[in-house]
Amino acid sequence: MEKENQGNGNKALLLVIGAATFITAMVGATFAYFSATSTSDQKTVTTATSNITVTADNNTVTNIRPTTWNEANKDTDTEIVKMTVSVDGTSTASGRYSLTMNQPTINIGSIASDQGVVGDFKWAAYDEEGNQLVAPTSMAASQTNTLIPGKDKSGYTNDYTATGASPVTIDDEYYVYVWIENKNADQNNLQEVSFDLTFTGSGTTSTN
Amino acid sequence: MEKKKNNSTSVVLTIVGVATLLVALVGATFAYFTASSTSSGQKVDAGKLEVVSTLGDTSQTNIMPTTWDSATISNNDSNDNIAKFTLTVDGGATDVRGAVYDLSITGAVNTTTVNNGVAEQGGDESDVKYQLVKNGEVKATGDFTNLTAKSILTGQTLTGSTEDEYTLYVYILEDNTNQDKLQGATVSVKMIANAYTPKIGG
Repeated sequence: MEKENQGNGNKALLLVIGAATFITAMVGATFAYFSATSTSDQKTVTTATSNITVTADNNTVTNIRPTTWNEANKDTDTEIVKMTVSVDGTSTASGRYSLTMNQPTINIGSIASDQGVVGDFKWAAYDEEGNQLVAPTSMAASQTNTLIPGKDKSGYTNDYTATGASPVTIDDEYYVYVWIENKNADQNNLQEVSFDLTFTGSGTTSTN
Repeated sequence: MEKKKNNSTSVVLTIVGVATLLVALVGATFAYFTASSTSSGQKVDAGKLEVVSTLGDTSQTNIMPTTWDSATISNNDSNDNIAKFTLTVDGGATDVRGAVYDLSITGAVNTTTVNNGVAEQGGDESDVKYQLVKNGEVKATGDFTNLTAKSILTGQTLTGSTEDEYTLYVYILEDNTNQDKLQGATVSVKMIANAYTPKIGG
């Protein structure tokens, strides 16, 4: 009986030693004999900043009066708003932007109800190559209009491309013409009306 | 009387026998001639373990969200929106047998406020990805979330002639949503090589 107990004790001891050996083997590296380490210098890369700037260069003609729109020969009684859209700070030559015109409430005079309405103010938009973007349109009391139609992805309507070293800079020009349509009648309510148009550009680097 | 004499003889013979046995066991100390020889000094040199990890600069700047071409890894080399760093692991003067090395990575994305007219929304460090490639094969991949000394590759053979070259790609994965918070950010990264001789099989 005593011998049997002693045999069991030996077996247990062997099992403990075996288990310890196995655990040591499994964690291997943590019991490395030699070790060395090397940490590289820290390196960095910067991400791009996408900037879009809309500059409106207006007031080439002031004190406009009723006129007749002639696309081929825009006369001096059209208010020309020239906009320059700049996209920079990007490292690739593609992206997309939208351009909208924001028109505030137009307050006209009240001399007589038949002497001119807000809708007599017209506007149209063109790109720098003379392509019509927005056909002559009556102004409403207030509204926001997309100037560059034709694209339909995520509200960014105009792809741009450019070449050159990073950062890429492009300058696109657009023209908005504003005039008072000549109704061949009194339009005195429109005298001395003044309002400011603002233009908003939104850009994205994504073309998906 | 005769019997007593025989017993004494036996005792004497036993003593002589035991003495002879003792003499035989301690042998040399009772040798008539002696000689000795010591070999020349045998030098024992412990092996040396050395590892040097070098991370090169990237030529890419102003990276923007982009896609990763997992089908043809080499296509990513021409993508200007993927920063490429060359990582070299050099065994230096290692001469110890059975050495291996592990690679760990530490990285961070430091964002900044960009005044470009948009509310900064979308995008975080989980959008910034890395891919470690060796000989056109992706060895490790992950993102920059809590990226501190993260083990990404283990058990690479290290010898004195080891000059393993990897390319570490870092990029912002485009997810087709706004990722504006990552505009104007600085992404930093460094690699750590740990070399050792494993106890098992070392």
